[in-house]
Amino acid sequence: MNNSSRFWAWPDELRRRGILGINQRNVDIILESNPREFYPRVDNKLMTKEICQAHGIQVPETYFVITEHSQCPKFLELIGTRTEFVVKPAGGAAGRGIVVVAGRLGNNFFSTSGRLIEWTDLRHHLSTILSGLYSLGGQLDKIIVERRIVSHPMLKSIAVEGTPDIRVILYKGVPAMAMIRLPTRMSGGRANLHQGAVAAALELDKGRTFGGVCRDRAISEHPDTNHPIAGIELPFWKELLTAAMKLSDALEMGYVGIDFVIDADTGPVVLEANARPGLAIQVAHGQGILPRLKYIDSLPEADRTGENRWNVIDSIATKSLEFWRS
Amino acid sequence: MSARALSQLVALGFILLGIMAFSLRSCTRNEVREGLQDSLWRLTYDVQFEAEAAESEVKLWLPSTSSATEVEIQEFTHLNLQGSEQITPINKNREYVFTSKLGGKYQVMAEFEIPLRPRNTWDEQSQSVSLTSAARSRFIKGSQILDTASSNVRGVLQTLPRGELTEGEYVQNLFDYCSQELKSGTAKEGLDGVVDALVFHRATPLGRARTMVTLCRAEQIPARLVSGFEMRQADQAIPHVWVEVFHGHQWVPFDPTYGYARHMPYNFIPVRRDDEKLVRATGVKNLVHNYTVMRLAPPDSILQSEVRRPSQIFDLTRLPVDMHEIMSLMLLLPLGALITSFFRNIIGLRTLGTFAPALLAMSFIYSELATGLVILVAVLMAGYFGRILLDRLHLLMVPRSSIVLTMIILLILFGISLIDYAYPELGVRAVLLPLVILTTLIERFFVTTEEDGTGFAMQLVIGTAVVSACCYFMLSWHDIGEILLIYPELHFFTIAAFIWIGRYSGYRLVELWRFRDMVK
Repeated sequence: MNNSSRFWAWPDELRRRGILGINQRNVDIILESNPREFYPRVDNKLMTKEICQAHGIQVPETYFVITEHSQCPKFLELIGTRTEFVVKPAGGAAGRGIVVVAGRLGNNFFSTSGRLIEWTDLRHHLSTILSGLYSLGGQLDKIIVERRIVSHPMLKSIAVEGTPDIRVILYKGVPAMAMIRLPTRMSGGRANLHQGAVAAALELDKGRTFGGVCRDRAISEHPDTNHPIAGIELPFWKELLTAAMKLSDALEMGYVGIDFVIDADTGPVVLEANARPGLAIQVAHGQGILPRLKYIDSLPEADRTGENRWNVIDSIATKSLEFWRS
Repeated sequence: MSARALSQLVALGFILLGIMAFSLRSCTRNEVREGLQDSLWRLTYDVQFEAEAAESEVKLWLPSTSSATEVEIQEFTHLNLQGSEQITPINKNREYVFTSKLGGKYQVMAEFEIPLRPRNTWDEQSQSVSLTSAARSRFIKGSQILDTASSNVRGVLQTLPRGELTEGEYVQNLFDYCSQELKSGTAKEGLDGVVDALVFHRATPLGRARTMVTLCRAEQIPARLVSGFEMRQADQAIPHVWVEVFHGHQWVPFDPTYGYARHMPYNFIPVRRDDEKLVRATGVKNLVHNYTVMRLAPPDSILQSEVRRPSQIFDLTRLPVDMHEIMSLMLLLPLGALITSFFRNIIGLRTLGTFAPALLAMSFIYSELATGLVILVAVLMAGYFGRILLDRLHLLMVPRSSIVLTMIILLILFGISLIDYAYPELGVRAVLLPLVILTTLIERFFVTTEEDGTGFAMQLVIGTAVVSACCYFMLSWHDIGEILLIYPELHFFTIAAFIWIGRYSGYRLVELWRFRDMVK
């Protein structure tokens, strides 16, 4: 049936395609796989960073951390002459409250899209973060000021006004699905799918893009540049997957989404980890994630740990659509 | 045991618990209610006579037991008499026959305790009987007293032509004649008799009943007298006489004296059918009989209902009446939460804050619609303009929210004052509301607008409005609130429903739309 004539899918159709719904994700997967006591490891970005550093995984270099309101006036002093940096709440989720400063003229700052951020605006934003406006539970928060990652030039053609990020979902330590989120003009340069960023699926073995989705509808070209989304092979893919598996092992979370940015010089850098990764990745793939999770479940433990995981990644990537549907 | 199986088990446990608690309470409540309606009466026969010789006989008719009236205790006190009970085949009368072995004075006391239960009223109509042709001819036969052939009877019947009337309509005409055309009279004037009643147009209660039976029988409609007692306190109770007409498959009661028709009040206890006498004696002189009816005290459970018992803790209706409204609103809140979780987890509608819609709905209930709308407008205005103005001041979050809160409060109060000035008849009143929650709602809306775009924020606002509206209708359902106040254990079912929703891992309704492109 033509997709434009369909307004809904029957539950049975979705089930046959192995599509994971939010309820099933919460009840059957997150509650079963992610121990409650390890949540701070992903919800608190400072802790995630520490874990990454302890395991030799690249993270953006932290310039300084602000923990109290009294430190806010010292911000300019602390930031020194840096013209590019990122301000993010340690307890924020889904990119909330993050300000990326890409340029500076005295005490005036500019976002990646060129928007002016005056010092007073920025100072207000800092105090808002500390008050907990962006933190998950609304409790007091901390501010991380860190290096701005300049995206790899290869991705310039499909990222507008911002930095594309790569999300890998790992189940029991094995990468199950991956996608790249591309900022658009509509999303204001942010890789936020709610605001109209584009997501493209990634082939797990090669890191090559395919598919594409914008606001839950399938697309094949970037809406701003009209550049085809599919067929771009990401640099540093093996390193990225290695880092993802290492971090997933360290976090001890059974179902986790890890967000990366690929730095032009140093390769994959972890931005954050998420214990409740969203479901749009399936739309980007045009494929449900459940069969992959079941496949990983069906493997003996020895086959899906350590270096043996590369075989699993290859076999997930090379399995045909028919295999997943059966 | 897996979490899934355990959840099912716990949910079923709650359902069972709910059923048990509910039936226990409804049984207790029924008992209490019935206990208040019920009354217990004692009917006493005091019969004295002098036997002229051995083997003389006195026959008493006893109150009849049926499904509606039950004689609970029956006691006879007498000396040197032999008694035996029998039930007559056609009229089902209970007769008690005493025979004396020797001559002399005797006294018989018969006591009956009769509980009256208004809900199953004296309802002979439900009892279908078949009348054999022999019995039928007996109930249309005239006699010396019920002289169907007399010219007066014929004369009256001529003034009441049968015509095309159905039997029911015709019986009603006869009943109207006997109960309305005849004025009251006394037995001394001989007005117990049918002929005199028809001649003088006056009759005693017995005369009326006899007249009606005679008129019916003359028209070939089976009818009989019924003699019994009205249960009301009396030292010297006089048996009351009414009529039963066989109609369809039932004996239908008519009381031409008091006007009851087709249904006798529950406190009329029939004793003897087809005759008015309740005592008959042969070979006896100086027969004296007296009947008394007395109301007995109710059981202790009713008289001591206000005694403190720990079980009263479970009865919320016992609390002061002015608390009832708030308590039922509180009890309705879980249903609001049920609606919220249904919308979130089954339908997939997103809202600003989890329980904010239910609380918003509650504030509307609390404040009635007019005040509620003022509050909504005030909150939106103060929130919107306050935010715009305060944004430039770069204040910290808590003080900024507090300013918005203060503005909301002022706007609400002056808004109410304005409405009261313009439309005093509306009767708006200021009530304490979860204003802080509303303020947080505004704050959340702005964060969502900034972070996820206006479109997404509007989705949340619409979702919040829809869920709030549903919660409003649920919470404003007073009957449900009252039922929950009486039976709070119904919330065991709510908990079971929560468990089921909590374990629901199927697709949300919006996901059927969201993933529609995935099926090609």
